[in-house]
Amino acid sequence: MGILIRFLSQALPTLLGAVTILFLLLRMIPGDPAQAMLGADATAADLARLRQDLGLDQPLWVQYGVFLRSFVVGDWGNSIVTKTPALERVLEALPSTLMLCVAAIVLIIAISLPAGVVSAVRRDSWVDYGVSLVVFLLMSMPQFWLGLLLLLVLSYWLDWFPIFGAGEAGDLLSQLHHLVLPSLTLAAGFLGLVTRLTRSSMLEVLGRDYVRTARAKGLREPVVIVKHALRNALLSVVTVIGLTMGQLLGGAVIVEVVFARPGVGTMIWDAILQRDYPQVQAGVAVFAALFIATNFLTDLLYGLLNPRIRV
Amino acid sequence: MTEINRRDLLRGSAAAGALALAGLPIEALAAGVQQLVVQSGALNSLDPAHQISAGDEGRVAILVSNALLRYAAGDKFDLVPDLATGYEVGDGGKTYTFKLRQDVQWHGGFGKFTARDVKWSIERILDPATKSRNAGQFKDVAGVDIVDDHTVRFRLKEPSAVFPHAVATFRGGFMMCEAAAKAQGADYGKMVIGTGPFMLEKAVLDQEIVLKRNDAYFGDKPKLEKITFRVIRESSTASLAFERGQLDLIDVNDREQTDRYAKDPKSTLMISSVTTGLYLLTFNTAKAPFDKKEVRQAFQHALNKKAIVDAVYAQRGRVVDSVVPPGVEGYTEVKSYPYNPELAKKMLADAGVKDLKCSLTVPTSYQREAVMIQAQLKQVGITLDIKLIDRPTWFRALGQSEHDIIWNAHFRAPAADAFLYPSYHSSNQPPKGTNCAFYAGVDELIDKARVTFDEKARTDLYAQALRRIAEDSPAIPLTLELNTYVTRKSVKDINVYRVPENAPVLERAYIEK
Repeated sequence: MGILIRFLSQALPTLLGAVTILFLLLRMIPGDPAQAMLGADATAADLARLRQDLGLDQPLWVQYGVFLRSFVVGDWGNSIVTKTPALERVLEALPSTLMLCVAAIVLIIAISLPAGVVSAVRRDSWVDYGVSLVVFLLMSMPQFWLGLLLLLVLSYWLDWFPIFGAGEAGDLLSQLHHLVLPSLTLAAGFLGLVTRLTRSSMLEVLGRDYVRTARAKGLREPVVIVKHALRNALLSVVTVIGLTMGQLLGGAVIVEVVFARPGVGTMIWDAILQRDYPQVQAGVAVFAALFIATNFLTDLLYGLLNPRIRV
Repeated sequence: MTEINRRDLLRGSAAAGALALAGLPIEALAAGVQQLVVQSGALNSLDPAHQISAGDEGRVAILVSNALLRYAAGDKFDLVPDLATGYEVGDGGKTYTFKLRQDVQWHGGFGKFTARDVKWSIERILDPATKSRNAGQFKDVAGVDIVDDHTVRFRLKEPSAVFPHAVATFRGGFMMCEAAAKAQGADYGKMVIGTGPFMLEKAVLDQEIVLKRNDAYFGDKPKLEKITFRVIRESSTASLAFERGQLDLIDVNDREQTDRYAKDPKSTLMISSVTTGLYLLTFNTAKAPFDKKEVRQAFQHALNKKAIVDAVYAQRGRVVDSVVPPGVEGYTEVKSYPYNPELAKKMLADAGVKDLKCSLTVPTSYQREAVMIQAQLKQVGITLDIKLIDRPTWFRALGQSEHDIIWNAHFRAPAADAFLYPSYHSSNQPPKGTNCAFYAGVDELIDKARVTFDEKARTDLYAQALRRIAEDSPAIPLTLELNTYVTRKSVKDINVYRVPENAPVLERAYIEK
């Protein structure tokens, strides 16, 4: 209960702050939904009518008041473009995006932790240099380009993976098959970060007294590394992986567009281009809520892993 | 009904999935079933009241729905009957009475198409509660009367000779089924019921639309049994999927792709000969020195349009001189200004313009054209500052007066009035409209043409207007962007000319075995 109150007391103001900034930012960029919808040839009369329909003719503070009130009561409005409830559309598209981000996290953990540990244990060996080279390469490739490269090599030439879509509904195998390349693309930028971080914290921990003690006790090297060193080294790594989740949500936009996957990313993309304010607001607010929640979970997990800060 | 279809669909898609996994082209599957998988851009709504993108939603709409009139296929955009068999103009051009076909059935067992549906469709779009973005198309309509089941009369506020274009296949012109809309309620936009050669089988807007043949269609029966539209926004992804056999038809949006597919023996590149999409440079004639005709004409001579089109569009472009594209009712050939930088320099000097510095406001997607224009103008001593902006900002700029020169794109219904009235009539100067040239030279001709019901006389008026605009040069027409698609060699009879949806028409397509 205490945890929940603490979470809500932090999360709600943050979320409100985030949507307020978003509300203002959206209205600061030039062009408005009426113009984006009616296109280049809109007459002033048509524009004025549509702006009135959309409430855009009201002063900004009135619009903000209306927005805030309906936001708090959970009525996030209809998409201006599709006329369907904005939040409903986000929630429909969310599972696909979450699946993509979770798959990316799994890949990051499965690849970066072992790679980081091996680089630290074999410090300054060719393995260490090899791992560094690969992770730097992955880190420095733009997601967009890497996605297309993977498509070209693994889907087009080798025909191992499908080129577009998210797989057949209800067929998990097909969905996983469609998930491999997008999640790899999304994960790539973070593989380097997490690998480097694992390596450096492992190096730090490996030099500590308790590791020396463990070795002196005659424990086998794998036990020393996994049980004594890695567990302690993971503390900072867990924090970074938790924060990564938020960035992955942002990265999903490009990945979803390249791989033609449905999701909140592509929805936000289209909504921004069409200045569909309610849809952008709903999409970003859900992302912000997820971001806040994962941060909070990261804090909790950190407490569990590190008895020293447990409250 | 839905039960069997869903099962069939699952079976079909499972087979398609299995074949795709095995690396076999969809084409192999299609040898048994006449079906195509086609790329589509973002689909927002299939509801004719809310459709936005003519190219993406339009290509589905023209298969599912019909309007009272349609545009003929071919190099000329003539209006021909669709759901109406013909019309009579009455009351000095204030009423239009349409006779409707009697053999038209709505999809899904919603009964016969009647005059009631016409009245309901138009009133629904005009109803402020619908918030239809296409309401402007019918703003001259005072009322719709049902004369009998198969006769409907439109009453207009003012006489209009160009009204038939409003009820043609373009956005709000598509007819809707009253019974279906009432039965479906809020879901109407998701599963539109039409009268066209194909009907919706499945619609997941962000992902795919599956159409199946409508065996009860009143026109020629299509040969294809099924068409699937897959939403793929990124053209490189679509291109890879096409080459791997996972898509049968894709859009071609750049020169490199055009060149590649033109040489590919396994593909058919399709380029329309005309289109209603026209790009031009519009001068702000309210600002000096663009208020001088001679200066604008000097720009005409300074620009090598052919070089720009060859470099950026190649086969996908067609240099134009008239502000109404060829093939459109009222088009006429007008004076062209040959590329002649020396003459341009002399004309600028004669007009007293030296070391001119000005700006071109242009959306980011036309940066390449802008850079070439900048380089060409440099040759005649003009320094052009390129102001790049995003699309929604550009839309707004077209209705304002801050620009010197602005990149303009006219994607209109194929009628001279649709090109001339919004962009060259003084009543539409910003902030009221998008005559951002601030031009007023042809008002009288446009107004007169609007109430001239004799076709030849109207064409003559438009020809006069076009010649005067070419002389006055408030805008420099650059190029048409021709609709370009690529499909497999085995896919035949795709019509790429139908407008104004700027979409490939798959109505008569089939796969040659």
